[in-house]
Amino acid sequence: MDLREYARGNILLLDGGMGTELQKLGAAPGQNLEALSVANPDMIFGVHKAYADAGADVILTNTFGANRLKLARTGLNPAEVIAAGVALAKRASEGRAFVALDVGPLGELLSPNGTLGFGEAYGLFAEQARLGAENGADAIFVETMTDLGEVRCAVLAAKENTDLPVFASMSFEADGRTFMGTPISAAALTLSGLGADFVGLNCSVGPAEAAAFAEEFARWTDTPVTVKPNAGLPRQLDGRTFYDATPEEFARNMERIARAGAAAVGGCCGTTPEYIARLAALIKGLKPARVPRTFPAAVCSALKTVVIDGPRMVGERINPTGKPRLREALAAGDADAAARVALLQIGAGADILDVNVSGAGIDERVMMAKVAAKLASVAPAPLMLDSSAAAALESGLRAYPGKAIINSVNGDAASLSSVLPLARKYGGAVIGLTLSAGGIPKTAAERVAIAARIVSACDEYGIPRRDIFIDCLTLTAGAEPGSSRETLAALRAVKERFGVGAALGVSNVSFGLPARGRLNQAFLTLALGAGLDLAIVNPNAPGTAETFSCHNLLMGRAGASEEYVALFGGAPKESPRELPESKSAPSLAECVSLGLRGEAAAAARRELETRGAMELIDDAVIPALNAVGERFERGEAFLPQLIAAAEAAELAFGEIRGRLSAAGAQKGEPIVLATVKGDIHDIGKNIVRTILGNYGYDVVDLGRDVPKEDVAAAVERTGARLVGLSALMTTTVRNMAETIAHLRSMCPGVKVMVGGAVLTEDYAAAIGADYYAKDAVAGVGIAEAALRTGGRK
Amino acid sequence: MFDPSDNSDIESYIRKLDKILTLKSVWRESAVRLSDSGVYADGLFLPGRDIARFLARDERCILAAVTLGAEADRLIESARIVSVYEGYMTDAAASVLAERRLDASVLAGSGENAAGSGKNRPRFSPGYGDLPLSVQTEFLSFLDAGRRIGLFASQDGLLTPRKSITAVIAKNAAPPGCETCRLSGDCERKKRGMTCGS
Repeated sequence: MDLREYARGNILLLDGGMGTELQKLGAAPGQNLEALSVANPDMIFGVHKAYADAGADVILTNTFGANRLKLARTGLNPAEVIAAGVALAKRASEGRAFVALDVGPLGELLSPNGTLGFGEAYGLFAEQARLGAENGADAIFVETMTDLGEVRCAVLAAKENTDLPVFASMSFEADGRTFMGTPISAAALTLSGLGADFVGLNCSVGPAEAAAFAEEFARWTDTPVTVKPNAGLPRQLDGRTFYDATPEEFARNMERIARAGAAAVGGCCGTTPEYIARLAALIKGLKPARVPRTFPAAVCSALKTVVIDGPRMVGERINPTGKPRLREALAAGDADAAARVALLQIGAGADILDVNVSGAGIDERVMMAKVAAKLASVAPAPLMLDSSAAAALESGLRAYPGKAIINSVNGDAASLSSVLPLARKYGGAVIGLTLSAGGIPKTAAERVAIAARIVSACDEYGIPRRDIFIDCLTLTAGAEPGSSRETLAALRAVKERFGVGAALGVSNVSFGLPARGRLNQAFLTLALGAGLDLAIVNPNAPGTAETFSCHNLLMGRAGASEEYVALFGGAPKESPRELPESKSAPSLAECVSLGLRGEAAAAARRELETRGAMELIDDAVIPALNAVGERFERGEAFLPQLIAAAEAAELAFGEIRGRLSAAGAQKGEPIVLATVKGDIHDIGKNIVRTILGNYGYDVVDLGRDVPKEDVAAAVERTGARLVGLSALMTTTVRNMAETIAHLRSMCPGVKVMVGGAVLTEDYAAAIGADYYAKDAVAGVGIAEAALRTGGRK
Repeated sequence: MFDPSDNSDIESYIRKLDKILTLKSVWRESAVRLSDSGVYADGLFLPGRDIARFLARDERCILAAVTLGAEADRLIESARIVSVYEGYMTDAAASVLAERRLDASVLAGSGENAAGSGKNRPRFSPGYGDLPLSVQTEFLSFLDAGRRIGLFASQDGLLTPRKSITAVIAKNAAPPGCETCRLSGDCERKKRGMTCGS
């Protein structure tokens, strides 16, 4: 019988601890336990058989760490370990139990937290999944995960490479979050959206804590929940770990969890066949409890869940249209600029961030994934992926560890059939635009008719109504009298008629009109009053946050009065701490010299009133920077002061750049910077970037953990004559040497300067570098010398 | 002008992080057995002459791994995106916090088993002297640090999350100094008459 079918009529009893059992049998700490399937099969067989005898319905194979990375140090490969592991579990269960291929974390953090790429991780998981299926496993059990990105990768690999049922289980600490910070709500929304057959938790906590966690899972999803806690909380004694729940206590607690609605229960660390036998006696024959529930509309990042039970502010600013610097950064493959915009919007109150990366010169498919992953690593707000290209949407959805909103689908059959399968596969919510090939209908009734088509198509794809947001389209109020009225009428109608949410791009209303801010606020107020859920706005525009706050207060929403008082209560704003209040405003030179970051831009604006841009750079900024650099070299100033000065200068340049004539604003000489493959320590490189930027160089910063091929490609693309490489560790200096060798063959003539904590002048020479930069100030001198002497083209 | 003795700014960054971040730690006391090419701490082999010299006077040592977690990395990266200065200060402050918390945690967690009370005991970490970074994976695996505190090493021996420390701690050991440092021949700090931490 198929495991899914069996689970519909029976609570699944999973087996108990494997690692702790093997340690009792003599396995040493740190030993690779999966290798024992080959080296000591009887030992593994014995544990499996004891669990099957105890009554377990599902036996997990001894393959937790049977991935190519972890097995590398054993000399074994996944094929032999998984074949042996599945065979042992099948032989021991003798047809009495299903056999699930156990899949644990890869043992390295995925990028950007670590250096393991999504593609590589996917390949490792896919290999395990295929081997499990080939060897006859009945299911794939992904467990003990702490990184939502990693567990998503494993679930995708399992589903795309096999037809087996998939369990997706994460490990939550006592605070209800994984080590990486993922709350249960986000795990439930994301993993069930991805199509896991069971979602839940294992390890970390005991059954008492697990009961509350299981309940929390069930609040967010109707996907069956799996619960496999430890035998209580761990205690340390003489360097060994013990767990504090007896088999009886464990079984009683787990029975309660099963009766409350869990679909699969078992044990993790510290549980033994006795624990499972006790539990079997209590739950055998129990049917899964069906608890009818309704679920909130919600989206999430890996860190935060946003329930859409009232108006939510969606920041619209990550969009290169009309923002040349953002467009340029995206075209150069740089996601930092988008991340900066994201953080600013979150600071202004955005709940969700719209991400649009389409523009001239931008590889939208690549950048959608890159920006989604970057934002996931720094910005807790969930994302709305915004593109008219299905391929770009899919690449973003694939990369994003969370439940995103897809912006958008429209009423055309082609759009519905290309976008809705993505929402279904990756578990996104979706925005439906009430337009079709015929354009945007004028009347509310016509728009509602298109909405009906979209909703009905979503129904066919199994996309729940709570995940649908209809955008009845804002047109400029200047073009068609009454068009805004039609939009609001359609908004009310779709909500009432279809039980879906509503979205609107608010600021379109004022295109081409004066006093745009005023009109936007007025329309936002009306739209919120009409029931708008997702207001796509500029959070940083004056009045936006205030309008939300007023609306929430007037509608009596929970927490609204506190929010209102916080916003309008009049707590005095902190004055910039760098300046004593009595002192007159500092000059630009002083700002740079003293690192007054809060004052530099204002000083630049002030002095630009009386001096030319070039004069200001040459006579104020650069001499001040040079002076700080010299003090740094003499040991009279330290890195914090140097960086503060550099940043003050950078902020001033931001103002000055706008005033330069076209000729003066020409880009400087390009320099490519990268922290080499395998290394994610990039402080030094970032300082060098800022300071070289101060001196007018056009720094192309490739970021960290950069493959040598990417460095060479950037040199080719930009025609740079100088490359700066950084590495912090002895192990990654090896990759630096390889990058230099690669540059020598691919980009002959390019000069290379290197820096990093473990490098010395001699070491730099030994790995073939042209220059050793002992610090960022030295980097400036090197750039001057290297680029003066010529080189490539 | 700059006042090099004024650390109030960096201390304010440390205080800010101190309120947000928790240090997760895992440690294990092990018997020391010297061999020709290194040291065994129970079943974990630590290769190299320097670690052998460090542990020469101890029968037991503590193997510890600590991390400020992924949240620290996130704070540093968000700070950097807004401002290089903020990123730099947050990064440096997190390093200091991890070091301070490790000292405090080991003192509190291990009682009197391995050391005298009240003062920090000498530590020796992979990457010091000739103890290679490649030992990180085995070190963490020996402590089950991935499952217990969410700490992993990359293939290049980089600890992730980044603000993490692995260390061998011993009671009678002499604190490692410049002699175990591979930079000692050409060190910018040394040239300025400084040492690490000074």
